[in-house]
Amino acid sequence: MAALAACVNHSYDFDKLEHAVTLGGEELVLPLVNTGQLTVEDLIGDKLEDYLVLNDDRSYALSYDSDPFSFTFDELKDYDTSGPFRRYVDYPISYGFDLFEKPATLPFDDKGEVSLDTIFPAVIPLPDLSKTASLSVPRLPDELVEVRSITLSEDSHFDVTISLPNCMFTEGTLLPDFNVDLSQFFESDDAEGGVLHFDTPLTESNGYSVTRSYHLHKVVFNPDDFDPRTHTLTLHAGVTVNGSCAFSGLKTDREHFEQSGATTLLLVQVILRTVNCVAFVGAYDYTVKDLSTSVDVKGMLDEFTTLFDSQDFTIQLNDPEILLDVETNVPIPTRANLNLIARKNGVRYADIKDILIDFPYAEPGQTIRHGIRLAGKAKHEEGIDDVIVDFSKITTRVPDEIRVNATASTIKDRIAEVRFGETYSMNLQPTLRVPLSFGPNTKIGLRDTVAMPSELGKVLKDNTVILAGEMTNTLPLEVDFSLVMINDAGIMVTEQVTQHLKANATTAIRIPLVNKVEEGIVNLSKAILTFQVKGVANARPIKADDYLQTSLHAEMPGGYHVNF
Amino acid sequence: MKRFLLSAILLLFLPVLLAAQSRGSYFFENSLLRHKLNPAFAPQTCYISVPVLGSSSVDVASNVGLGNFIFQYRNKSYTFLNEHIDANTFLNKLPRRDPYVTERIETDLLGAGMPVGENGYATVSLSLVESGKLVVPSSLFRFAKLGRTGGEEAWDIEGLQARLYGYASLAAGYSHDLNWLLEGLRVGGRVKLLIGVTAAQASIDKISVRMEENLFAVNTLGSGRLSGFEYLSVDNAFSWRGFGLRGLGTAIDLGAEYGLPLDGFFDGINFSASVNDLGFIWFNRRLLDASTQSSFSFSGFEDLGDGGIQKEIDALTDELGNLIRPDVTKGRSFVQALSPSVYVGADAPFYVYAFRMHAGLLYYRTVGRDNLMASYGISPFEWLNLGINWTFLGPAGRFGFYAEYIPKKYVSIFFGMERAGYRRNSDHLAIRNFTDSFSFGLNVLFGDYSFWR
Repeated sequence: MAALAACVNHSYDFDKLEHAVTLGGEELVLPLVNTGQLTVEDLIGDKLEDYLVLNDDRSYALSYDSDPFSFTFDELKDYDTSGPFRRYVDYPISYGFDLFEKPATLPFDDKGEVSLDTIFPAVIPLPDLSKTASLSVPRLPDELVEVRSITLSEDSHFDVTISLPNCMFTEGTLLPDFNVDLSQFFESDDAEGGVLHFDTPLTESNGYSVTRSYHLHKVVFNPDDFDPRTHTLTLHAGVTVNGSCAFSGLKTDREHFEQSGATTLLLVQVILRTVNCVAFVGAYDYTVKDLSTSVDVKGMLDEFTTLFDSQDFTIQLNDPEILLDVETNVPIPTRANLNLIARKNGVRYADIKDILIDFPYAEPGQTIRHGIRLAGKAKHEEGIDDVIVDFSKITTRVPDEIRVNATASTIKDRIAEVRFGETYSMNLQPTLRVPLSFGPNTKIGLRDTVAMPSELGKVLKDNTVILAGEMTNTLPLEVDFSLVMINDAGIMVTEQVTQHLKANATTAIRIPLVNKVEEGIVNLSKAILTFQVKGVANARPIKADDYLQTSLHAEMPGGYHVNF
Repeated sequence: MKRFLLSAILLLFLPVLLAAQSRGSYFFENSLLRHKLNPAFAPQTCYISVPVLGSSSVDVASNVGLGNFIFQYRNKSYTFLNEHIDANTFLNKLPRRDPYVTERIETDLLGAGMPVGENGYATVSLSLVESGKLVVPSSLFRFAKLGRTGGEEAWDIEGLQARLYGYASLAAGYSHDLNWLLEGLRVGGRVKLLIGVTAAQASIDKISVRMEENLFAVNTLGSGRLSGFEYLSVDNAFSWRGFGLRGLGTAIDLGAEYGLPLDGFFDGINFSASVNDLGFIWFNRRLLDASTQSSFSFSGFEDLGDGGIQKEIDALTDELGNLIRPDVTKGRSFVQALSPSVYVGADAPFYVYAFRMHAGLLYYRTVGRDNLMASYGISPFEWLNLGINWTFLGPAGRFGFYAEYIPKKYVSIFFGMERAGYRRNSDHLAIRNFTDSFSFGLNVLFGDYSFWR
């Protein structure tokens, strides 16, 4: 046993063993982060989702809505549509035809009755009877300067009554076949070419009196007969009645014969019952003044500043646009005269006057949306009219607000159909669009706090860890990427390390993580990743294809050290 | 990975706890329990084992030692993973075969022997046997040490395996003198009823590792079958369920001995041969089949959105957990073959003065390894055997010692050992490749044959 004891080599005793080991040789490399291509939408899209818009050329713009404004054509809504023709309603125009003379005697039978078929002719032609009227139609809308046509309401109609007043007949039928020509006054859906055909039989059952109603659609007139000063239309026209009537099975008795008049009369009466003017095709003279709103640029910047928790948020106002989103049912072509007034700290420092804008107009009964872009150059986008405006006077500074004052007027030489009684309004939503291009003083901090595995503290304590790889930045922005780790108490346990990423470049990354508080490193709990975005002067707008791509691995030169 | 490596290294240096029926007793003709090595051998006295202490043995062998993994640098000791230890220094120390450790423990709970008739001798015993083997591939150590050094980014680590089984053996042996057939010939055999207690075979056939700047990927493929264990999914660990009847089996030992008498310096030449543990155990209860075919790849966190990285860390942790989480199913029964051992020996007894001595040469094969042992013994008194031996082949050249006190009656005691790699640390762990065999036994003797006749 002594010999065995002599062979004991204490160099291999475990209590004398240095417990530091290194795994992975001299060059341990582990992948860490591979972000793929992070676009602006990935990076700040969630913060700007209400403001970021993508243009057709795939460039981004910041879009900020100002207060909407609107104007209404109230006078057109309140117009009295029955006024112009009220005086002619229920006023009959009568036409009388003498059919035949009363004979002195008739051959009555034993019952005192007699058939008249052989006594009177079976068919009697009627001559043309024409009456000419001269109607003065007043109280047309004050805004009308020219009228081309007047459309009547659906309940507008007139009645035609045909009767044989005080006739001798006790039996038999009178079948009229004649026309009432109203074509010089009105158009009617029930009368082709304005000529009404009447063929309803008159019998003893309807008392030899029949009335028919006919719908009126439009008023027929000569536009020259409209006087825009008095807003009165003068109508000169005639109504003609002609045709024939046939008889069959006519009988009378002694009593009716004796009581009847000396002549059998066919009476035709034309009576306007309801005439409401609901639409006028013509030219209008209408002006809305003192329209105004304000584009709150400062409010936009303040909102972005809050969103990014940044004290230094600026945007470059190069090539701004004011987009007017117009929603309208106004059928009258309208033109506005806009003045843009820029203010800074309450002081007006620049204005752009007399910007003429033709507003869109709708087909009668429809509502449309259309855009109007005020910008330095046209973009020719569908659904948006370009109005070229030189904003250079305004963009010499970043204004607090851009005041928009406008006067809107109808275009007098443009014909439009206006339906009265409807509400005509135009709603305008001004939106300021600025190409997404941060100013040189912009500093946006994007921060992400990541919980770290507790054992990572040991790793960092015993090992030299280098974050290495590359970051590609095609954005026209500079980015400072920094990393710091904190412990449970929120104390920084590693030095904060920062890597600067140039704009539009691929940057090699090599960030050593260095312990700051050696005794506290084991309580490491979180890592704070910060991307400090810096604007670049005169940079191009950011495009959807721009990206930030990070590919990092952890290098442990000398391997992975651990004490066990 | 770190814990796994440490566990693997510590398993390679399991301390030696028990003693063994020594091969040093093989050529002593009056040695009490040498019949365990060859059932043809017959004790010369009747005996009953002291319960539990009758015979215990343990064999441990490995082709590596602490010196393969611990190195000196400026008078300090470092593991091979320390940065001060040059990779070539460590790699040159690794053996050509993958590092392994084997162990076998056997102890008799009960045992007895007595003559039967004129020419026979019978033995019975109840033993507990436990045997295990662990192989850790060199490539695993190379991977841990080198990593990507030298530009190597892909590693295929093959051949990690562990095996363990334990059983109780109820043995009945019989040795018979065949002098009537051939003078000096004796044969024997032993039949064993084996009761399986536990069995575990596990192998990670392949671990593929790729390490690149933008990719870290691991694929594992392994399987295992276990009896006497249960899987605790919550802990992702296997737990031994304790002793129980989990299998049945049988085995036989066969042996023969022939003594050729000589006139001269040598009294004769004895030849003997045996093959032991020819058999199997059929494990059929509470089996688990475990397999793992997992892949893990990591190319970096890919989401910097709100809470994105934390989610990815959680997913990464889960994925790593699944990498080592086996797919465990209720297994089928399986047959575990025993590892047979073979002994072939020749010795020549001779006398110097009044002292009986012998010189012998023993070839044996156990746990898959061939060994050749030269032995010298002396019996200065009839009740004392002393021997030394040297084994040439095998995991390591080793020296052995044997001592046995064996009076006619009362109490017999023996102790034997073999050891290769004498340089040890304070915890008796070998510094180089080593073999340790220890044996110890305490038995009660009841006199020679004549007492019983």
